[in-house]
Amino acid sequence: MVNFSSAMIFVPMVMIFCGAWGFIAYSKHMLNSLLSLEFMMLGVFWLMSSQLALVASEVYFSLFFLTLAACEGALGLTMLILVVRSHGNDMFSSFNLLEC
Amino acid sequence: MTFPISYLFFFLTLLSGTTLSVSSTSWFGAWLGLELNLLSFIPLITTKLCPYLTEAAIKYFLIQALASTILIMSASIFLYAQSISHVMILLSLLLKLGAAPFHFWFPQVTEGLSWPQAFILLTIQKLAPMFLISYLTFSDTLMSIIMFSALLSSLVGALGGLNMMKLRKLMAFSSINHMAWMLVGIYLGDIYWLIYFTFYSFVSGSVIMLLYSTHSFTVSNLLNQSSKSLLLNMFIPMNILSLGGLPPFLGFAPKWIMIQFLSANSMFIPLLVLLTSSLITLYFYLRLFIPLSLLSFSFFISNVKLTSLFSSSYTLLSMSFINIFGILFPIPFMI
Repeated sequence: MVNFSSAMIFVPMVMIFCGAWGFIAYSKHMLNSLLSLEFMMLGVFWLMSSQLALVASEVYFSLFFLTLAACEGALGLTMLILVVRSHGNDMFSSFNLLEC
Repeated sequence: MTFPISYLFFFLTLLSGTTLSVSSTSWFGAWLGLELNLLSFIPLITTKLCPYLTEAAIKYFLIQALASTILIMSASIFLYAQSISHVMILLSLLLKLGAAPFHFWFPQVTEGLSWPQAFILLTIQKLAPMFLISYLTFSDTLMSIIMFSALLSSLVGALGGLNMMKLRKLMAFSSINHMAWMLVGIYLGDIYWLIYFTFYSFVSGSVIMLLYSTHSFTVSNLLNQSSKSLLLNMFIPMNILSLGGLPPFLGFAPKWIMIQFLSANSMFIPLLVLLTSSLITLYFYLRLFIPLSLLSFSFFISNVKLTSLFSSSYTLLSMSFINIFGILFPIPFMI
């Protein structure tokens, strides 16, 4: 019998790390950042549901998490529409009005 | 600026998010409150379709969403790696706060907002991460990270504001500098940073109200309307000096309390760094109004309009009054 408990930690951590890497390094379009954020959220969902199932079988907490993550994704898409309407594109290179 | 009625709703959910995250017993609840706070602050700052507001909202959203994700991730690995989890929660809260190693988004976001929104960002949005940081003071590693961040943010807030001609960025850097005092207050104990936060909210609120009522966004705006009212010419220097923390004004009181308790705990090197950086911030506060009061002070101009002396609102008058004579206020605390 293979023990999967450490795999249930490390595989979501690798997933979150890859999401953070995509968020930081590949920031040409804003949609890419939003997708990376959602990918990180998905990894956190995996990690969290495995941990919660480990603790006290309170997996339904992850439904709260999923609700808020979906709200955040919807707000991110709203911001995408807003920035396309005000700037004309979603490139990060055009967000330079406020730099020091 | 008039706000539609829906902003009242979003403001209430903003406050309830702060309350939820402050009073929650688990990190999941704290994350929930922070998310609610973020989700209701974004509609508050995108009031109209303007590139500045949109850009500030996007930068704020991406940073805060990343910090929230890191927070809930490190709260989930709490069972597996406890000390790493605490450190990462602290770092994500510092990112949410805009404290020194993670401060780069903070002046840019503040620059894009209007003055009332900037006031919300500078005070209310700091409340929940500050409270959550003050819960994380039980190990030496966390304390030393808090102290490192405090000292670095005092230096960054002082040196970053030196070359700024825009008032909102200047207020943001001054807020980073005041945040250093609050983080050192967290190091000392809970009540000290709460006292400092209350005083700072009041003083920065009065300064922001003054700048909002005169519609000033750069230093030249402040100079151009200087010959209009005698009272404003008196109030702007006094409120800014109060923000800088000079002794006859209210802003000195929390600094006095902090100096006393820092020297009572014999933490002289942090005190030295904080005081030196406050001196540098005082330099750029002085540079705001020295041309205002020396070159174009309306008392020396013959056509001064005394009728406009009473044109300011009563709230502005009373806040400035408390600002000027407020040093009498903390006397019951000091005895």
